[in-house]
Amino acid sequence: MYHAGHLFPGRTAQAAGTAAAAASHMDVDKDAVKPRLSGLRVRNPTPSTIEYTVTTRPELWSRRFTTILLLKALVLGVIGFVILLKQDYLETGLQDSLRNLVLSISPDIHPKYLDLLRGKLPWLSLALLGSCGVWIASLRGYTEESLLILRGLGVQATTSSSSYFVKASTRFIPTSTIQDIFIHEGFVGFEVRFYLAVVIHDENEVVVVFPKLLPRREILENVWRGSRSLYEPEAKAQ
Amino acid sequence: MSYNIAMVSDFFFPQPGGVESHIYQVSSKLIDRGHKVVIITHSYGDRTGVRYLANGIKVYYVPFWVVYRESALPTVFSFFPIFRQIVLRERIDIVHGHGSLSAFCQEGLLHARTMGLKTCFTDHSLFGFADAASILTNKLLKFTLSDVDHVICVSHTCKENTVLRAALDPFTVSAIPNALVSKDFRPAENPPPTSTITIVVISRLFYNKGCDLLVATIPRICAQHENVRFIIGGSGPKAIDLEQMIEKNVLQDRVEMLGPIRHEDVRNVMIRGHIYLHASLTEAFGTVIVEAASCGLYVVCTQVGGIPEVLPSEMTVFAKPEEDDLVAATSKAISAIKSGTIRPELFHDQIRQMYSWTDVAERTEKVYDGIMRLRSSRLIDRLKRYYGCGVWAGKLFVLCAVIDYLIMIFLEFWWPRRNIDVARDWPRKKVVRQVSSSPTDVEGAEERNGWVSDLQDQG
Repeated sequence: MYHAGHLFPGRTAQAAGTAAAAASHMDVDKDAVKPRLSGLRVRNPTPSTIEYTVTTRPELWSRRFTTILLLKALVLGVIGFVILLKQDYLETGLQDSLRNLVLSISPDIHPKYLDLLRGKLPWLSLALLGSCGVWIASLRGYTEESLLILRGLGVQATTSSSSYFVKASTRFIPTSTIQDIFIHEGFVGFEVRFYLAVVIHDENEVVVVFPKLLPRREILENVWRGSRSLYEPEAKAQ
Repeated sequence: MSYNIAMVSDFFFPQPGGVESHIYQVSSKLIDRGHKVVIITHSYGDRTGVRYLANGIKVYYVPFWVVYRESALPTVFSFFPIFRQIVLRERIDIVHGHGSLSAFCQEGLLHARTMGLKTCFTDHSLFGFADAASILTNKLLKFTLSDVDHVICVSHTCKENTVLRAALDPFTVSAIPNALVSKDFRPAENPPPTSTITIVVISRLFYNKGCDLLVATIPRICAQHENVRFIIGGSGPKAIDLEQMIEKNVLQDRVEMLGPIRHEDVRNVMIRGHIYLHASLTEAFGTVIVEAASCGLYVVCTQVGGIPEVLPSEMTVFAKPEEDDLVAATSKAISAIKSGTIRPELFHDQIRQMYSWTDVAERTEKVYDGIMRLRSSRLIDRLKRYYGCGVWAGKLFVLCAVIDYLIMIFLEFWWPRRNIDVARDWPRKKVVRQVSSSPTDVEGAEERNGWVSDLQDQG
């Protein structure tokens, strides 16, 4: 396994020197030059802490946001409709009036379909349907993962859960148990992905930071540089 | 000009062997010449994932599940998604496959062609034409090689064999021999006295290595010459025959069986002897006889395959692969050693000048230069070439190529290349070139260093 720590610091200085040369080749290698830090949020709550957050949360009222909202509303609407309709709770004749309404719109409809509006569902299936609706409503629709770096204390990795009801899984790793933090690559399904990992004393497996999203290399390198501030006298975010 | 090269083969370390060490040595020397080399192989046990070897060789041990061994059709395409990812993230220009029996290599070459990359193939072995397995392999080889830019063979005999098997144009086939790390095969400081002649045999004890010949000749040589001893190293199914021979002729005190020998111990065994006896029935190159000569042994070998090209005639006594001739040749060698007419201790320096991996890498680089100048062919041209491979096979190959192409389009859609991270390169060596170090060359190498442009936005 290669430790990123042995690789990168020496290069930054060289890179600055050749920056001009690289700039002239920008058109050749546009993809590499373009910053791909979208999706990374950096916060400095206090001077000695940095929080890196990687998220797929859509912007408020962005297209994705509204799509998710509409889809949820649609599914919940259907479920709610069925729950309300299939049980004529208050004997108000709601089902009958609805049947009449349908008949008045299209009189030659087959009575088989009309019968769908009649009758009762067992309570069990109603409860199931209801919990299903609650579960869908609670779905987050996005993943948010963060790494909080507390200078001199340690790092805390957080991964959001898929539902609003479940707490995010959090792990705090004190500096004293951290052996190394490095970037490596591995096979994930049909892909080869970079990951940021923390090696912990007396533990066989490394802790992968951002395990669900596995963000891009540029983001990981940024976070990795920030994580060096664990050992620096003055913490600073890049 | 420096290239990004991917070596693809099923055979790599930790498994020991000739192809494996060839890939490693050539890669290492190519890196010394300023190229970037990654090796793609399948995982060995828990050795899965991305590893780095000495000199910055990056090895992808691709996890491959059992599906691939058991069924034939998925084998052709199942490697493509991961292969494409690796090729894109490492920005590979040339895909170099090794070993005709390696499914990984064959598959990798097909996908590389589909992706429009330059391809090269190294053949390490000789094959027959008659038995069913060979016919099948040859057909498959014809499929992949009919569209490969260049083929490298380890000897001229091997080249001839490959050209015939895969129906290739001989001009696209080069012969680049194997080499050895000559400092690992120095002759003994104090050569053993010639009062007793010791003959060394180190080989895997298989039928094709000529073990039956050994069984027949060793008793006759022992009977003819008083002061001759044998040391046999290696293991295999024919070991039992040799042991029976020893017992039948009561040669326990003259023939020593060492069992399996690790590669690093080969020199220690070799320097105990004067003559190396190589009775192989077929051999593409025969690295072991070069190693023997480098250790200062006089070589007696059968004149088969690529062996006659390997060593200059003053280092060897050739024999036909038959009992009488081998006995005669060995006797000739024994008397030459006894009379002191040859000086085996001088062989080492000659070998050192003849065989070096640096030289192999240099010649391989020339092949790369050549294929980089070639224009990549259009799909329809490739299909035409495949179609000419045979009445039924041709149609099948065309089908495979078309499906492969469609899979590539699907992969471009599913995992677009802009979403694939480019890996950082290991810091490249400064290119030392005696021939021409024009400033444009240096600039070219700089430009290709990915991290220069990548790091820019970090300030």
